[in-house]
Amino acid sequence: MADKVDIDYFVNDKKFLEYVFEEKHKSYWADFLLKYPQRLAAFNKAEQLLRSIKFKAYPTSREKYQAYLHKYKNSIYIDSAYQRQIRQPSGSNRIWFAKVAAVFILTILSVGLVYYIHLQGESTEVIVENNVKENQIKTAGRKMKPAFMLSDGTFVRLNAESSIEFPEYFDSLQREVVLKGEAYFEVAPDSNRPFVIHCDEITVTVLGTSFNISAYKDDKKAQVAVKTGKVLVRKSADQTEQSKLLEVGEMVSLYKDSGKMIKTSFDQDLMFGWTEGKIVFKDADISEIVKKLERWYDVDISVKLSQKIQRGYSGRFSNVALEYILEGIGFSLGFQYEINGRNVKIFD
Amino acid sequence: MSVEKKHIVLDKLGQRYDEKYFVDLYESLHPELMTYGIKICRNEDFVLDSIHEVFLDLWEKRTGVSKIEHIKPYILRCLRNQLINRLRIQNRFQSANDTDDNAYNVPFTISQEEIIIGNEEDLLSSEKIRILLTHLTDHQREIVFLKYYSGLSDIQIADITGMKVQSVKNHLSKSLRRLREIISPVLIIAFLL
Repeated sequence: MADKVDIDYFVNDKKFLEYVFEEKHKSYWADFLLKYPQRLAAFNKAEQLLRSIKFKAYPTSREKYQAYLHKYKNSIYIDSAYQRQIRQPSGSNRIWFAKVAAVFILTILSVGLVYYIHLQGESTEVIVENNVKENQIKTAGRKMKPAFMLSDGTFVRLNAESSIEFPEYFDSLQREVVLKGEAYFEVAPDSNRPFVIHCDEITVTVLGTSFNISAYKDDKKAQVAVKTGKVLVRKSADQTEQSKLLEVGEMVSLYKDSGKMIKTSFDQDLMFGWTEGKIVFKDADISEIVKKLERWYDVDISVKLSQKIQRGYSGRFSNVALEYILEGIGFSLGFQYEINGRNVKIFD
Repeated sequence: MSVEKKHIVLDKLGQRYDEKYFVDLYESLHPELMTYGIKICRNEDFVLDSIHEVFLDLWEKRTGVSKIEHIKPYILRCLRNQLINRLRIQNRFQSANDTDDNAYNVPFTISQEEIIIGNEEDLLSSEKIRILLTHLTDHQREIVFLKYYSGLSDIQIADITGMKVQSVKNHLSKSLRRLREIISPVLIIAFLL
C-alpha cells in the first residue's frame, strides 16, 4: 500500500508533472524505477491520481437547451427553403409570386389571402390561409415535407398531403393543434401546458417529446409511433373512453372500420424513415404502395391488373427516382409499368 | 487529466455540409462549448445565446466550412470572440488597456466543484490538486482547460487565445511549477500533524 508521503513526493516533482501532462522525461523515470523498484506502487498511484483529474461538464438546463436546439433547426431549415426559392429559374410560370413568397417566408402575414408558392425541389411548398379564428393553417401538397417551428419551440415536419392548424400563440392552459394527414413532432417541453393534437379519429396528448402521427383521411388506420417521451392516445369521438399510454418504441393503430385500438412495437424506418427521405414498405399491398408513391412523387397511378396480387411487398429506398422503385416492386410482385409525365400505369 | 468527450470526426471526402450536418455538430459540441463558455461568463442564458449566434454564423458561412481542417477549435475560437465582444459591449469586464492583447483580460473561473478527482480516497492529495487549480491565473486556467478538457495542441490553443505558441508553453510550465509551490507548504503541515 503506497503511503501518502510517497505519492506526494511524485506529485510535487516538476519532472513528474511534466511526464504526466506533457509526456516528457520518459527515459528518466524508466531509469528511476529500475533503480528504485519499491517506489513503483507510489509512482503508479500518483500518475493515476493526476490522470484522473477531470473537469465536470456543465449541467445546462435541459429545457433551455432543447428550446435553443429547436430554434436553430427552425432557422436553418427555413433558411434553406428561402435559398432554394431565390434560385428559381425564370422559366417557371409561377415566378410571379416569388417576391411575395420571399416576404412570406421571413414574416408570417396575417391578411386573409392565400399565397401559393411554387418552389423547385422538395419539401418547400407551403400554402397559408388565415381563418376568422386567427389560427394559421400550414398545408403540404404532394411531394412536400416542410418543416417549421411553432411559437412554443415545438418542431413540426409535415408529410405530403397533410395540414396542421395552430394558433399564433398558444393558450395558457393547453397547447392545441389540429392535424390532417401525417406529421412528425418534436414537442418543446412545458410541464404547465400539455400539448394536444386533434385528428379526425384520434386525439393525442403529449407528455414527452418526439413521435410520428399518421392520420390520413383515406387510410384505413390511424397510427401514432413514439420515438422519445410518452403520449396518451384516445379516440376523438369518445371523450369518456380511456386513453392508451404509449412509451418509447410503442405504436398504437386505430382501425377505422372495426374501431379497435391496438398497441404494437414498430419498425423505426417504416414510421420515421420519411423524415429522412427514406420511403419504406413493409408487407404493403398494391393500394398502400400506390398511395405512398402518389404522395411522394406527385403522380397519378392507375392500376389494371388481371389478378389480385396476394403477396405484400417489403423494401426501402433512399432518394431514388420513381422508375427505380417501380422497377423493383414490379419485378417482385409481377407487374409492368409505364410513366407518362405525371401519369403512371401499372398493368400485367 | 483525461479528456472524456467525443470528438467529431470530419470526413473530408464526401461530407455533405447540409442542415443535418450542422444540427449534428450543434448537438455533439454543445456540452463542451457550454462547459468552456460558462467559465468565461457565468450567465447560462448569455452563453446559450452566444453559442446560438456562433452556429447561425457557421451556417451562413457553410460553403467555407469544408476548408476548415479541425472544426472544434475553430468553433471554440468563434465562441470565445463572440463572448468577449458581447461582454465588451456591455462593459462587463474592464481591460486595463483596450489595445492590449485580448488574451490577458479574459476571465476564466473554475470552481472546486467543477473538478472531479477520480480516486476520492486520497483526499489530501485530491484537495490539494483542487485548490492549486484555483490558484492559477485566469489565463493559465484557460490554457490548462483547453489542453486537458478539449484535448487541443499548443498551436491550437495559441490560435484560440490569440497568444504566441511559446507563450502557451511558458504558461503551461508556469502552471505546473505553481502546482508544485502550492503543494509543498501544505505537505509540510500535513507531515507535522
